[in-house]
Amino acid sequence: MRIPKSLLTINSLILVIFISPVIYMLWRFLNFSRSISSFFESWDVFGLVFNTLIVFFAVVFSSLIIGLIISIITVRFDFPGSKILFTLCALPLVIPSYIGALTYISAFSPKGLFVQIFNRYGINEISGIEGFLGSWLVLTLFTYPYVQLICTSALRNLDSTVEDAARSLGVNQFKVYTNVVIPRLKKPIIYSGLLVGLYVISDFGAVSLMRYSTVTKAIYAYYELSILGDPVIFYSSLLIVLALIISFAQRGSDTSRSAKVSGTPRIPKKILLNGKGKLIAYSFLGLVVFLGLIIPISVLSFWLIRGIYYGNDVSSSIPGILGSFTAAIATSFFAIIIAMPIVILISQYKSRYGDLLEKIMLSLYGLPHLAVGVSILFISIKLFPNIYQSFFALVISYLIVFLPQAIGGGQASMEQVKSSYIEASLGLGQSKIETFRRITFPLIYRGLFAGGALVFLSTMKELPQTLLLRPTEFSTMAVDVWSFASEALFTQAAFSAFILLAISAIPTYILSTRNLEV
Amino acid sequence: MNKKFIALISVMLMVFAACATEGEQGEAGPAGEAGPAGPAGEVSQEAIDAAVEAALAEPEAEVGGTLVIYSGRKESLVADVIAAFEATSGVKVEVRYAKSAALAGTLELEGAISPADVFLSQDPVSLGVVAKAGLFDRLPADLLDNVPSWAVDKNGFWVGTSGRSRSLVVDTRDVTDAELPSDIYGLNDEKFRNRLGLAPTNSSFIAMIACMIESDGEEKVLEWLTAINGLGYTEYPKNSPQVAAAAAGELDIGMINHYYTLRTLAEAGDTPIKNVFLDGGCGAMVMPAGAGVLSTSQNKPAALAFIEYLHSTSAQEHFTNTVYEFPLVPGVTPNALLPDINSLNSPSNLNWSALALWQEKAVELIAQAGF
Repeated sequence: MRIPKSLLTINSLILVIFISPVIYMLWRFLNFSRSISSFFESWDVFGLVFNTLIVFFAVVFSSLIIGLIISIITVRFDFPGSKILFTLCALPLVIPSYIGALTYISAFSPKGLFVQIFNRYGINEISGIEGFLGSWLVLTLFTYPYVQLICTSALRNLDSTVEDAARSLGVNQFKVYTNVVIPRLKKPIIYSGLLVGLYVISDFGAVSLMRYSTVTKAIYAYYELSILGDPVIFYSSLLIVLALIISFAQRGSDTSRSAKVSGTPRIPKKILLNGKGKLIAYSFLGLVVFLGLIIPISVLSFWLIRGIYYGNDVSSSIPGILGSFTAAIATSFFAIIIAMPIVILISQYKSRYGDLLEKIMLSLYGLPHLAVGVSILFISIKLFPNIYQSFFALVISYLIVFLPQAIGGGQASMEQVKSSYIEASLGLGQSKIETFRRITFPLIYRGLFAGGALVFLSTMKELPQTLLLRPTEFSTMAVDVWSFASEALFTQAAFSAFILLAISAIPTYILSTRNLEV
Repeated sequence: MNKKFIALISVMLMVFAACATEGEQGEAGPAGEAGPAGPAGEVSQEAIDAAVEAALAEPEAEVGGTLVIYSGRKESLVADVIAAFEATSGVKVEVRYAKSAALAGTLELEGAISPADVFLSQDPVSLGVVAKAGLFDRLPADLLDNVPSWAVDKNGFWVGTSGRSRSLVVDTRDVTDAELPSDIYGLNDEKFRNRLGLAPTNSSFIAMIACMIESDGEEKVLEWLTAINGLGYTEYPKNSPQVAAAAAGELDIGMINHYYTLRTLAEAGDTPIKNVFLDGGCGAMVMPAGAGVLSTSQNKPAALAFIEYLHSTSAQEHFTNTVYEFPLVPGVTPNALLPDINSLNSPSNLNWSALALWQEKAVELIAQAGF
């Protein structure tokens, strides 16, 4: 089918708007008043890139180990409570990294909560968790669930013929996994590892609170020192390039399509764990749940209760709550509308243009929010002063990074819309609009709305773009958590963090697990 | 049916467009809400007369409308004063809080499109940056005369509103007076390894570095910054958490402005921390926080009235008794916790606009030293 002109125009317009931040950044990068080499002389570029890459590799590595072990234990072994433990292990997914970092810092600073509680047992001071170690720990704890969920679904669909053969040849249990199972999971491992990696290099909140100097932390520091500085542009472009590389590599390893076509896999029987095995499984999963879930939640609860006990005024949190809702509702609403023409073009008209559009739109998902925020800030000041500091510019900025979630939701349901339905409808004399209204829309709106809900939740938790672009007198829960935490006002920060989690945790969990477990 | 669907799409698009224009109107700013309500597009003779009268009236000019303040001073320090100004003047105030240096940079970038009317800064260097960019109006002489001349821009682009001194907050459990240096360069000493704290993006810290470059030269400052970095220090996003950390016993010595320590001590007198004022040099710099009116302001009468209000007795008393800063208007008694401002050995005759020229260099050196 030929793509109708109107659809082509709308999509091209959307495309132009959505890639403008990247184009603008690269254009600024190529038009510096000073030479690129002078950056390397004046600023500690290598140091920052080194720090960023170190935490990238460390977190990817540890997340893969933890995520894989959880998958293997829960998929291939049988023990009481394995299902509930699997869910508990996946739950840290819903905790934004800056909230996680907030809880760890407030609990484990040298004289933090931990020392205050255990003072009577003679603990006066601990060496605090911060810097690289702190960032590594916190980012690992809140990203390994991606590996866990993606690898579990791959493992469940993995045909066991080869490993059974290995076992029958006398290869021991451990080696079956390291030599047979894990190599066969190569694609989901790379895919989920790079997903974690994208998250790490874009992370701003956790590394800043942990005082670990990465590229994102430097961008915000330079912005706070003086926004005009070239380093903001320089590092933002650098970050975008880094993210695009990872994002393309990741897309290359996407297995979601090929996985579906394989026939019914031969599922191995779960191995019943003996006493010793159970002990190992429970201790490992228990430790993970303790670090990733129990510590953050209890620390937050502690601050919350202490705040209420001391009669902290919580009314200052109300504008942030309202702000989060306003932003999230507006963004998800427009995400659904804008995703519609894109989804229709991509799935109904197989064309090169559609493929390209899909690739570009999905790669936006990996863009570091901070860099997109910086770009929109410059674009709005320099080119569109009318939208500068407006709610509109903020929503555009959210849409650029979150639209892929809505597109993904729409695409999933669009696959049900067979082109024969549409041809039949057209053949029966219905107009194109009528066909869309009566056939296409009813079939895709569920998926679109699920995608929209994910956009809603992501917007609610978004931090760096909101910090840069929010209108005067506009705040969100994420911004409140951030500002209170950076002044070490933990009871106030905990209140906003708690509300944010209370609202978003369960729906985030349901939607993310649905999306990740292909 | 078809129509209904098209109508639905149109409504959605209209909402989208409305959001866009709403944003634009927001930008149009103060003018929108100025003055008493009347039929749109009609300006009565009465209103014109009233406006002329208001402009001529002295000193209690009628002000109103909306005022946009870019505040580099923290919300918890100035929100009460701003609320009091709103209540007495009837002006509706919108405040954008951020770091002073970030706001100065933002104003430079915004130029003519800036929605801001007033820039309220925690340090004179950020004010100087905005003045240097030619974005401030000259303030009327009577406003400049409210405060001593050291706290005023020589060209009259901004005026001080309260005073503060650089200081060290020390944990008295771990630090003795004898081991402390008399001057900021003395902190570069092996005995302070891993015991120092600072906030590299804090505007007052940058101001201090600018002062050091002005008086001691780039090379010496870079050397000092690099040495401090090599000694190992704890980085904080702001000054206040340094005081909290010292109070908790986590930090020995923090480079801050004096007032957070006093605030903590006023709330809990037995906290084992204190301020140490260095003896001379930029580490002992006393500087004004201040404000200026943007020349692009749409509501200059209200902007001037706001700065005038910051010089009022009640605002000055708030600054000294709640924030623990030095009042600048003669006749207002400094809070009893404050040292005598004349006893502090700040470099004399600091030229704030000269320091502003070093702001960019200061930022670059801080970055170069690897902070």
